[in-house]
Parts: sequence; C-alpha cells; structure tokens
Amino acid sequence: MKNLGEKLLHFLTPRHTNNHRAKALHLSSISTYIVLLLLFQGILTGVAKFKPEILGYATNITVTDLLNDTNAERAKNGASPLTLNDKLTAAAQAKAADMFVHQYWAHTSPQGRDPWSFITAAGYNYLYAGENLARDFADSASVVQAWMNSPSHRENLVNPRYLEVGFAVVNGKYNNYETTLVVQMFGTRQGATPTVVAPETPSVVTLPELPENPQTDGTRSSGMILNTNNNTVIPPSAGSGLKLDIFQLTKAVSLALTAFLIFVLGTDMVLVYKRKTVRISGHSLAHMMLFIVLLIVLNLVGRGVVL
Amino acid sequence: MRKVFKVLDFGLLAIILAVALYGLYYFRFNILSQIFTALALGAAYVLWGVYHHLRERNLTGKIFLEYISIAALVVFILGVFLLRV
Repeated sequence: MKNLGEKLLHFLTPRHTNNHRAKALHLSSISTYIVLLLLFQGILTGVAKFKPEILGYATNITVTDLLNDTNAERAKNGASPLTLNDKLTAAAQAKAADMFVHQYWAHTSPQGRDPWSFITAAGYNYLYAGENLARDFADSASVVQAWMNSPSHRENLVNPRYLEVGFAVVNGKYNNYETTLVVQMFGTRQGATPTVVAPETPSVVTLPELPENPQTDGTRSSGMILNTNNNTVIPPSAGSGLKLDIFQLTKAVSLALTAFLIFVLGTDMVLVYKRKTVRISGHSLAHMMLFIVLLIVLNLVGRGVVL
Repeated sequence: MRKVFKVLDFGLLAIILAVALYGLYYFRFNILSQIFTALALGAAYVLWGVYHHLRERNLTGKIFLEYISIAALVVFILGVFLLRV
C-alpha cells in the first residue's frame, strides 16, 4: 500500500525521485500517451472496417421536431410557418436515398442531378425551392441550431418566400460509417401567394456556392431504413447488443487525458511555487493554458455537419 | 523588469491561443481548415516556447523537445477529434 502511494506520488507530483517534475509530465510519458492514442485510434478504425455491425450511435431526430423547431425560428424572424408537403417529403426522401446509393455528400450528385430535379420528379411544380442538408447530428434541435448558425442555411430556413417543406431523416452508411442524413426541401408552388411580393418572372432561389466534398467513384450498396410515416428514425438492426459510437469514445478518451494533464500540471505549478523549487524545464502554466484551450474545443465542438 | 517580460510573454501566448480558438470556431464548417488551424497552433506554441526560453536564457534541447511533444500531443488529439466529427 505504501509502495503504491509512493508510486502514485512519483507519477503525479514533483519529488526528488523524479527530478522534481511529475513522471506524468516527462518526455517519455508524453510520447507514451501519443503512442497509446495512436493504438486506440487504430483499433477503432479496425473495428469500423472489419466489424462495422457493432458501430452505431443513438439519435433522436424526428420530422415533427424538425418542423416545429424550423417554424419556431421562422416565427422569431417574422416569417409564416411552413406546412409539410407530401411531394416535397418524397423529393427529400429520394435525395437522401440517392446520396446513400451513390455515396456522396453534396447538393448536386456525381451524376449531375441538382436538388430541383428531385423536386420536379416528385411532381411539385415550384415557384421557389431550396435545400438544406445535415448529417451526424444526435437530435433535431442541434440540426436546426446548426442551420441557424450558418448564414446561407439560415437564409433558407427563415425565407418568407417559402410556404411548404418536406423532410427526410435517413440512417445509412456513408464512407463506411453509420450516419443519419437529414434533407430539408423548401418550396412554394406555382400560383401560390408567398408573404412577400414575387418577382414578375418565376425564379428559383439558388443555393449559395458551397465547397464540393470529395465523392467516391462508382456505386456501393449500403443498408438504409427510410421511415417518415410515424416520423421516427430506426437504426439499422444489424445484430443486437451494445453499439460503439466512435465519436463519443474518441471524445471521452480525449477529454479524460486532457483533464488528467491539466490536473497534473496544476498540481506541479502549486507545489513548485510553494516549495520554491528551482528547476529548468518547460513552463507548466504555458502547457496548462494550451490544454485548457483543447478542453474548450473538445467540449464545444459537437458532432454534425451541414451543407 | 524580468517579471514584466514574463507577463508580456504570457500575454502573447494568451493572444496566440485566443486567435487559434477563434480560428477553430470561424472554420467550424470546414474540417480541413480547422486541422490546418490546429497545426498552426502547434507550430506557434513551439515557437513561443523557444522565444520565451531564449529570453530567459535557459533554452536547452530537453526543453525544446518538451514543447514539441506537448504541441504534438495537443495537435494529435485535436486532429483525430476533428476527423471523427
């Protein structure tokens, strides 16, 4: 027990046994953390490649919540609420399915299909149309918040020209990782009266230029489940039991290591100051400031991408 | 006077970290730019460490390696995390 206590103190605090610098902060230990993290990520990547069926993550995204949150934002910005339209919903579903089948993450498909072609193919004769995309979010509120935080998506979401909307919330595999795609299609039919004065000639609200993401070539088959009847998302049921969420695992390990190092650096600073130890080493305060920035980023960066 | 320089140096470090934090937020819709920002943060941190210890006249190879390893660890954690998003 005494030996364990001595070993802990040697690892965590500055003492004569560790040259007055906690063993946890020695060069050898930092290198060990990097190697262990590399190994950990290698294992996760291996699991994703060879046992993808045990990967997954919990989502709570529903069409009802997306519609309510969208209309709440529109109300705050003086725009009339959107009504759910079956044809726009069908267009959104077709777009989501197309993205999984052809494995792309973009407004225009590798085959050159733009969002408007999905809308017209669904039989919706539009005066105005728009599209927002999102993936990898855990809940509806985060999706709508992310769209509102992006100027171009916000423009679509609160645009008073739109009267109707369709949603698709689809689980599937993109780049070998399980993901949830959200497609939001906006529209106003020809002959409808939007809340702003329409221009004399019918026009399409064009999406702002966005960077194209690299797309995979060829098509791959991928499992997916479409369910917008009762507005819930069903994860692909490839086996039962515990599912591994790679993002949450990576975040948890990174947070734990960062918090541990901040604690050790803080302890080092306090003890060296109290004991008035003279030593030549890097500044614990500087290292601690860097790790605090890392802690902030790890806590603030959430999962999910919008396009 | 030495204390003043120390405060100024840490003030400079705080500015570097604040700029990096803002950069990571500004590029929140572009993961590649965020990764470049993380790399720039690591490089800036090492440069700051060298500059600060040169001024304190106690820069050694061991201290230089310490700053590199800390920066490498932080950049690695950030990079992996951003790629998993």
